[in-house]
Amino acid sequence: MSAVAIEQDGWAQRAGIDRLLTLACGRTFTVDEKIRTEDWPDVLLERWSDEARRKPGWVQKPLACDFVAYAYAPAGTCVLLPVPALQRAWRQHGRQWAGLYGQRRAVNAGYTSVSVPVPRGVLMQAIVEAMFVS
Amino acid sequence: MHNSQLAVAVHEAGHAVAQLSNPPHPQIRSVSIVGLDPALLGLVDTDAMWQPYMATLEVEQSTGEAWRALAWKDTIFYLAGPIAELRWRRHSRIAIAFGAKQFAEECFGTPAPEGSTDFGRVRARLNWAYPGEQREAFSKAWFEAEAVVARHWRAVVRLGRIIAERGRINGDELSVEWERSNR
Repeated sequence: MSAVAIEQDGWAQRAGIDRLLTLACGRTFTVDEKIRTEDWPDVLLERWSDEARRKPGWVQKPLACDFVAYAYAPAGTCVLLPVPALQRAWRQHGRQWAGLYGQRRAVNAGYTSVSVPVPRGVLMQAIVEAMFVS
Repeated sequence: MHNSQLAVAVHEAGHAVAQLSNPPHPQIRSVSIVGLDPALLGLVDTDAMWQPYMATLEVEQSTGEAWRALAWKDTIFYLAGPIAELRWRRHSRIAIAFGAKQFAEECFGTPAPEGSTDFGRVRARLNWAYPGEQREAFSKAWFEAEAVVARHWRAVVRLGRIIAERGRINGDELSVEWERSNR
């Protein structure tokens, strides 16, 4: 397997792809990397990237990547979240999670992003359930 | 353009962007990768906020806190350079973040880094500001600097290319290009 970083400011980075994994068989996977600088027991799902302009965050907008690699830097651990199942889980539970776990606002220069801190176990269970189709 | 020259330019752009994105900050007079002392590959010509004389004085707690904040800002500035270069050299964000402990060891282990290097300057500041907790402070600063570089990565690469092409840009040119990068 080879892993190539996407270094240019091209379509891939704007679409949220940091890394391209190529398997020996030729199949490729694209990965967006997100890093948490504290070991919180949850995953911050970005609901709005710009709350005032109602720009959807990465959990509810179309993403070009196959996986989100969500790393907890101090612990040196990472969860690899499959994007279609993650977004399906969000569609099924997002509103409820926002009510249950609250929202975290990050004030940046000119915009405020809003995320929902979902406990890791709850999210992983929801992702598994999102893979069942009946 | 030589690839390693571009890597040095991106390294210097990482320093510059860390400073420009966190006002108030001392003026950057120039960024160069040519015409320097042979011991230097690149240079962001600016003033450090924390100065070694601060380590020699007994001051009130509030002054000490203010100086610690300056030492921290300097630390982010110094770490953003090597982080930008690592990322340019195709290390993933996660690999860079997970490398914090290893780099902390490089910074605080033996042999000590040269005092005039990025890590040498970080060592001096964190030894003073966080005695006994230098490595933990280093990791925290490393994560913060990585996030700054990631947030402004497009600007870092753009400025790095400009620095590599021109060899040297002055502070006014840097300000113009920084503003363009943020449009």
